[in-house]
Amino acid sequence: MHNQIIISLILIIVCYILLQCFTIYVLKNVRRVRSGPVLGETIKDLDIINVDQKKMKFSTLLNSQPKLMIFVDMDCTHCKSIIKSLNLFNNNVLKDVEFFTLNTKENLEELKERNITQNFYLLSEEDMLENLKVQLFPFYIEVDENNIVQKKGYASNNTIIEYLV
Amino acid sequence: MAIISLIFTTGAGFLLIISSLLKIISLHESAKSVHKITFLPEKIAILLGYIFPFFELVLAVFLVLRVNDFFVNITAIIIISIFIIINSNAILKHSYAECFCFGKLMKSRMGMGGLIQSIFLFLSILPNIIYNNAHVLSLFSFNGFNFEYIALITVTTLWTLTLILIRISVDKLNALRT
Repeated sequence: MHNQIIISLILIIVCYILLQCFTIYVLKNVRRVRSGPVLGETIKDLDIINVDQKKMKFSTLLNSQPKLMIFVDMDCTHCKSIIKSLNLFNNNVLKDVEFFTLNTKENLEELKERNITQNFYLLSEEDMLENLKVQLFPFYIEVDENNIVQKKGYASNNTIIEYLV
Repeated sequence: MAIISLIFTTGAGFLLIISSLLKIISLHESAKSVHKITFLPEKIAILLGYIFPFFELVLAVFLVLRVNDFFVNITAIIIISIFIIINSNAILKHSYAECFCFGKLMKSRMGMGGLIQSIFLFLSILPNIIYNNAHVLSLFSFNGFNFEYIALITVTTLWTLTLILIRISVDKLNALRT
């Protein structure tokens, strides 16, 4: 009986050692992004405004489709290059990619100046900074058809291409 | 082998008792969640969601008491295999839906944590079928209350705790990965 209890204990310890190895492996490889909503959580149904200043709900925009959301600030250089790349894709390709920026007069004017009418939405400061916790730009969030956050991180020019591929 | 098999089977049985009781406490929600994680039609899934926790409890109690050992083990293996299939499917489809595997108290998701836990449960019970013998011990087969018996109960509880902790840690670690 003694020996068998000892063997069982050793087996349990082996399980813990494996768990430790897995923990170390994950923590070593984790690219921690503090900004943005928590992975695996559902995004709240926020109020958003389109370029024509019409109010709409976030859920109507998603329309039960997986989407890539890119958050930009109209002034930052990286954001500008991403917005420019919009012209490279046709509308059909971009139907699952949506851009968001803060709802300010300057941003709205900037959008009108650049003649951007599609794929762009405005968010209130509270929703952007506090509800979605997006504080750095450009930032991307991938959601699935149930509105659950699958991926997030700092966006680059390749983000859209990687998503489409 | 009899004692090792007793420790791991009873530990797994304790886990299933905890999981089924927590499901029974929040029966309504757990029944509704079955539809999300299985491929069954909604009505059958909900019905199954109401019946399953009680079935799991009975099975778990039989595992602990080790009544009708061979038949109970085969049923447990089949059910655990279903857990493994459902969790693997969730990983392949990247849909880590919330499962009420431990009711409302311990929130859990389908995915790697569930898969690893199910594999450990499978491995705890599988040896009973392979080395099937007539001499089956349960925690209630002992008369004396001595140091060895206390050690036996402690190690069994440790295995149950291990199974729960592995599930929670792997779930939390997976949430960190992007």
